[in-house]
Amino acid sequence: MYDRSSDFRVICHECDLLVDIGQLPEGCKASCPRCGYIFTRSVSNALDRMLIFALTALICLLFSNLFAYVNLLVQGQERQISLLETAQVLFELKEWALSMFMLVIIIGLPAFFTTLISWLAIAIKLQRVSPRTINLMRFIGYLRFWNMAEIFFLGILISMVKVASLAHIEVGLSFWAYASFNIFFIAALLNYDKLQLALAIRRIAHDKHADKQAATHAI
Amino acid sequence: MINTRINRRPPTPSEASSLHGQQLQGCDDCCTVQPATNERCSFCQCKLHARKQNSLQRSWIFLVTALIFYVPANMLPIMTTNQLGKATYSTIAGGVLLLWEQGSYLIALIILVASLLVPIAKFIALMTLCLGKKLGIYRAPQNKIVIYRATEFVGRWSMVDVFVVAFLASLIQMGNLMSVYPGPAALAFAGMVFFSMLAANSIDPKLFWDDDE
Repeated sequence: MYDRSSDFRVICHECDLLVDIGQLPEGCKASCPRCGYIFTRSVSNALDRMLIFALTALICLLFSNLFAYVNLLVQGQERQISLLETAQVLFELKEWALSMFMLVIIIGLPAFFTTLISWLAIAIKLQRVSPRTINLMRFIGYLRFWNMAEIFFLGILISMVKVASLAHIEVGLSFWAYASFNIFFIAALLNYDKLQLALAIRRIAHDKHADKQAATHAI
Repeated sequence: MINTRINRRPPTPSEASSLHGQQLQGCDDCCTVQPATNERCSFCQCKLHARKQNSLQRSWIFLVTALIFYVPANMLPIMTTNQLGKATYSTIAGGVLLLWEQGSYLIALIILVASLLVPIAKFIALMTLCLGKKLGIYRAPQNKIVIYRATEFVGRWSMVDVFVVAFLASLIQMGNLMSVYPGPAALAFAGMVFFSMLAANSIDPKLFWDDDE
């Protein structure tokens, strides 16, 4: 029933073409000959890289919540805000929807997402996966679609240039933490290879199944 | 990185996903190849659909919703600035003009592109993708896929204006000296981006090749 050579046969997500990728040499990528959709990139230790980048991103995100990220000075008045306060101030202004949106987009979703991909990577490394792990991957796919952390960061940069003409503005420790979070987060995303992860899960599930059958035969 | 493209004769749509005469479909979640007759994936047990269901109708509805949000997003003030007791309301277009006059050309351009030009370009692109068949506008699938990928990629970046307003409103709260409040257009704009992202996501690119047959 299970045939390893079928591992390398894929159907393009974007044009339904059946493609035999074959064993990819390291450093190569396989793309659809018809529509150019990239199936997979063969990167050495992609799983380890993804895990390490995701965990680093999570730590940076944690740090970025501890301190103020901008410091504003206008005519002797000083004001500092942290990431959480961004949502909190909007909440106090009775902008409930905007406040919730900010909380989810700048902290909630990135934290949840990095935790889930680290979890997935650890589960694969410990071989504790089953066909149901695919559901986790599907959920990760949904979250990935809504991720906008780097756009918020661009928003901060634009606002700072905007404000700089009116007042004195300084960046705090958390600003750098959030910047590094974005870098590691993108690095983790670049190493998130759906096809390779699904293949790893399929192989582990198949091996487990084979072991089970061997065990029942032995009895 | 070396690009190892697999060169082969481009297949016709009808033979695109068949092997030894058997029609096949792919599971989008676990990337397995399944016989077209399977209702559920043999590996992950998820429901299989050869195409996204009602893809163009859904996309069309989301697009119309996004267009409805686009009107208040541009008419109403996105930001209210309260400086020494004097309140100024600024719309998106007003903000761009103001920035241009102040000499911040780069930022004025970024906001102009992200908040005004990109949504309009996206509406036009989605309309050609959704209605192209009905209106009889022919586009090769290779062109359609480029339009589709561009709309998918660019969608989220329009949100930058909402973030700018939210960030400024939370930072600049200095009482009478200077305070910034988000206007109703900020939420409308977020809604517009939200629904146009859904519209782009609802489109099934596999349909482009079906039309070509």
